[in-house]
Amino acid sequence: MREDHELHRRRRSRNLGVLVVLLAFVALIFWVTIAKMGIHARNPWY
Amino acid sequence: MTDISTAQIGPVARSAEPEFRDFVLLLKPRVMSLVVFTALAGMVAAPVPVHPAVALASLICIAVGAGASGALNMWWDADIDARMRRTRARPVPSGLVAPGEALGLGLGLSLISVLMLSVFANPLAAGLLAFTIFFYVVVYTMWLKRATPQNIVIGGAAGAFPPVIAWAAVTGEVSTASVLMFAVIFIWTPPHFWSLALFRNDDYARVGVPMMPVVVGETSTRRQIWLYSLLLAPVAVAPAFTVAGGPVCLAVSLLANAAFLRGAWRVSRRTQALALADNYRAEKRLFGVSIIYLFALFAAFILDAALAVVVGPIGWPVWF
Repeated sequence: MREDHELHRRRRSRNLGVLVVLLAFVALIFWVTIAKMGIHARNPWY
Repeated sequence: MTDISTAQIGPVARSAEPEFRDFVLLLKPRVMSLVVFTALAGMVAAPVPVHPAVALASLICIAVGAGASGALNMWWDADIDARMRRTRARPVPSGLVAPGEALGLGLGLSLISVLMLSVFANPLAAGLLAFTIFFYVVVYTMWLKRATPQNIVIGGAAGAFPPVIAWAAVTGEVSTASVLMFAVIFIWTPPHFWSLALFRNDDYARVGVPMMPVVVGETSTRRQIWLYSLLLAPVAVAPAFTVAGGPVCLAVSLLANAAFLRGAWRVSRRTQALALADNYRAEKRLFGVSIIYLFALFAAFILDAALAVVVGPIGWPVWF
């Protein structure tokens, strides 16, 4: 069995960070899309 | 995860595997927080309702754009950062992040933040953000910073843009109120930064950055701090009489200006010998007051907007 090295810990921290940022980015785009569709539905000329 | 056994790896150089936190530090999170706050004030003070999703997305884009320019600044200035006490622990000079990674991250985030702001808000706000990043990185960092003692005066414009961008993101235009917000930060920057430069003079002198105290001396810098503070006072009161201002803005700007002018006057009357004797106490105090000053002024915009929501129109005079 291999023990976890410092290098693996750092890489995992970076991978998890990027994962969280990407998921947040997707959620933000989804929320803005829903919001803009709502704005457009209320005012089609906007 | 790649298959690397621990036996193959010796002590890892920090630059070999930066953590996520190291990349966050590269974006100058403290500067980002000030940018987010002034942008939030510009957004809240704008007299147009905005959907929370669009507001949050626009604020994130402005913050990321500011962070991207911070990363590009650290990439370019790594040589002098390594020799200054205040900056030697930054990710690039300390070896936490490789210069190429800082450059890549800075360019990538610049592009993403500008494109996404154009999608989330409008092309005007995106164009202003792009110009701000260009101004901070190319005009200030690459050109002015090492060339002229007026570096911080002109370069300060980059830090003054966030409320204008936020205002444009909400209203789709640049107005007198947002220009006055810009002017407040623009004129506030020199006395704020020179009060720091006075007690960090040796750092800048060692690396050859022509900060005002290094080039023209402490006496002249102290006089200029006072002159800029005098100029700042009326400019900081003026936004109270725009569509963004109100009674809270007026009260806070009067009190904050009194404190700022008092501190600047003290600093302007001191000699270098006196400052050395008490370890630059008045200068450090003015630096601290200047941070609270800007925070208070922009918090006042938010409070005035909240007041307008709670009590409704109060017939406040709008002169500008």
